Amino acid sequence: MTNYVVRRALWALVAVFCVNAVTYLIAFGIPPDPARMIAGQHATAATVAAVARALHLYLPIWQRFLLFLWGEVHGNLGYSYVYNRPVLSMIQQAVPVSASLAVCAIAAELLIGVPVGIIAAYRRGSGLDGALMVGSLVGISMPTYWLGVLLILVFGYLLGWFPITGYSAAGLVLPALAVGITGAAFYARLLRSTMLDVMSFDYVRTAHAKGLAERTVLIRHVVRNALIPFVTQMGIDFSGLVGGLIVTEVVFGIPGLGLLANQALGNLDPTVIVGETTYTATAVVVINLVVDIIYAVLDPRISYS
Amino acid sequence: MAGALGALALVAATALPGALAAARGHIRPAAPSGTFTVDFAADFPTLDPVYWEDAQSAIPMQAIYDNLVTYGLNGTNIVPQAATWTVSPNGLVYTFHLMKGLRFSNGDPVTAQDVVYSINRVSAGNAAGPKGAAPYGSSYNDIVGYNAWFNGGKAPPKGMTGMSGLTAPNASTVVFHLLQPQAYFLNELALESAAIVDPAVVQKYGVINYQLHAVGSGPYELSYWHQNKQMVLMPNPYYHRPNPAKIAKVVFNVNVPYSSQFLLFKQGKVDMIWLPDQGTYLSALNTPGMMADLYKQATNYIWYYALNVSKAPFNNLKVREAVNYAINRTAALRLINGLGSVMSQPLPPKMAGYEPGIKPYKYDPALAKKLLAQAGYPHGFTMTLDYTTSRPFVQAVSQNIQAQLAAVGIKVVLKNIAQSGAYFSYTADPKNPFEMAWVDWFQDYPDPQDFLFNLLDGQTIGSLNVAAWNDPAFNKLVEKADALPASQQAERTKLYDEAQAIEIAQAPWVPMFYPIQDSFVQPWVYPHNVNVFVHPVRSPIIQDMYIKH
Repeated sequence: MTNYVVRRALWALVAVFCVNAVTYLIAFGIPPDPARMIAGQHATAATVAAVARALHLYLPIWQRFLLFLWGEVHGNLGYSYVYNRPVLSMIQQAVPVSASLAVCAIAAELLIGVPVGIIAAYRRGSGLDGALMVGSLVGISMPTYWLGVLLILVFGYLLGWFPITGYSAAGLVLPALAVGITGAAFYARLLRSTMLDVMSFDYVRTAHAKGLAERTVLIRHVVRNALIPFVTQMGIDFSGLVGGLIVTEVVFGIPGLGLLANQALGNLDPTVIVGETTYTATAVVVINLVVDIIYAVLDPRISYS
Repeated sequence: MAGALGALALVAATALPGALAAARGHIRPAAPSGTFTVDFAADFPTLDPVYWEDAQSAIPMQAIYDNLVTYGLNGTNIVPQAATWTVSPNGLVYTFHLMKGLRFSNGDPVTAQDVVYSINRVSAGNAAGPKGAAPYGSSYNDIVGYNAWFNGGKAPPKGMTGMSGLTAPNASTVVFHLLQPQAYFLNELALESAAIVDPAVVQKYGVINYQLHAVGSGPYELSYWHQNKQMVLMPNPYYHRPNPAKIAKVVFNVNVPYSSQFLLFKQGKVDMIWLPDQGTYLSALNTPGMMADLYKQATNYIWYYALNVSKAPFNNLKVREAVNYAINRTAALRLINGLGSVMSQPLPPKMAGYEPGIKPYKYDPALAKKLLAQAGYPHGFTMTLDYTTSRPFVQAVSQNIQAQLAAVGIKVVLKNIAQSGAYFSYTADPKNPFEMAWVDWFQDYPDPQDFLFNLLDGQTIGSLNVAAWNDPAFNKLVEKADALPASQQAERTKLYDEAQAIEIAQAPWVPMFYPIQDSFVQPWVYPHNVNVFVHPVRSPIIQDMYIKH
């Protein structure tokens, strides 16, 4: 078991290192003159040279990467070229914001997706089932950007029920709804199909034969067993959300990791791009590592070699 | 009788103090009131003069800091802010006398030593801490002792406390000694990089954290800055000069997309949309009543394409002229919703030296084809056009030009460069095969030197002279004008105009537009004066604003 954990952890480290190296090469390789970018178009050549020296831009890129790694290990991810503040603090401020949006988004997906899936499975073949499945297909197909703007217009502006922009408790409702409507369909369809599977199993027939109420059969036996692949899907979903929802955050003005990434890419701010990609990669890798360990603990048969 | 006398006495008692006060020149200000809310699409890059280089940061910085001088409300003339000044006849010595009673918002008095500290701080080679030198630090490179102090971009030499030419003989006098006369020296002191900071506060927080606790002596103070969320300013309690703050609370929210700003403006929840994008401007055009809230004017800003004159095909004057004649600029103006006028020369209309008699290129595709044939390209040629999409309309204009040049036989391949900040280095890199590239240039200050020297002199090839144009006659005229003092403004203007004529004849650029900058402001924000909201040089002047519902 320990062997397994150590091996997984080491590979995790390798994965993060690779992401780090590739992102660094891309982010610092693309802008032809990072010093000029920072110093701005009005700076003299002497100023640009001074900036270049301070950022070690005269060194070959592999040496700069090593310097950067050294700083990373000590918690220093460098400074944003545009916003004049430490990259680490920008990320630290953005993480709780994105995390709260992620939680609300998943909650919205579940609140919409689960009832839809259960009802559709229970009423399989009926007009209601068809309507719900078509509806969820429409939901998946909607671009989040478009839906977000629509929600802002209707519920923020015309009805005034929610704030149009900004990060607050009320301000998370519309973005969560935008993600929820577009993402609920995955859960609805998954739950419907797994429920239909389970409903055909022997133990369900046994429960019916025992004379249990329909409702009890549904909830105690069918849904609980159908939820297992469901939870796996949630894990994947959360893992994907950990890097922030770029489009949603931009449309609604939520200052999370997605907005940070969008701005950094638009500004070609290499330190923020590298820092944030490294953070996201680390988070995903750590989550997967933890999940793998939990699986191994739950089922000792599991130990991928 | 008694009643009338009593009434008279009552009137006198209330009116007399005000009249006496007015007679003494001291208007007792009303207490600040109201809230002024502006949302921005992105966060402020900084509040520290050392890191400053953008227009958005200048908005709160001009409210919380003093500079020695600033620009007048009605134009581009320099007026005192924290000090009055005299200049020696040879233009080499500037002496500033600080106003009485200047205080930072934490109560500390402002002294001449603080001014000296501030200018030295931004000029040092390591001013920006981990990011090297200050972007605008070299603005002060004409002060005696600058080179030694800048020390090649490293920390100043041990024992040196500042530039030798910058002194404070007493607590209220600052003296600058210049290496040569510089007509635009006062303009450089009006830049945000020369804002007066409190040394105690800077030293307490260090260079990266200082901006979160920025302290100045301006009419407002920084109440708090929650980065990426909100910045709030409130009146500086220690500001006891004419024209204090009239608004009780200034709120800046950030990361609000323009589409949301537009909706919030219609709801009355934001008081100003600052420099909206074209999409928002179009939406406003179609909103009844909103055009009445529009304030716009042309500032010193030019949009053009630079032609790389160092290699074929644009090393040939006739080819450069041909491209200029082949473009219909008036038609292209529609692509920016008419928010601009056609550019005729490098200097913009409000700049000294601008010559109204110079007309822009007329649209003449037949002449363009003839010139191409004369140049040896009777069947046209293929070229690339580089542009940046940091401003979305640039793509539309570039595509329009692609179509127009195709009509005279020039096949244009469009190339989108990712980001605007790297633009100058990308296009000015001699190893870069660019041929025609989009450039936009906003003034640092309203002096022809900022345009003609910075963008066209041979010395700036490899940085700002994107066209790599090097004309010795032009260089000589511009450099001579640069070195004359402000007292010889007429002679300077004459020399700049002669230089400009050479540039126009040689056509290293395809001049496009003088853009018009615009903002929308709610009717309850006063005064209704375009120079307060879209000043030719300064940022929106919050100091002059007041709210009245």
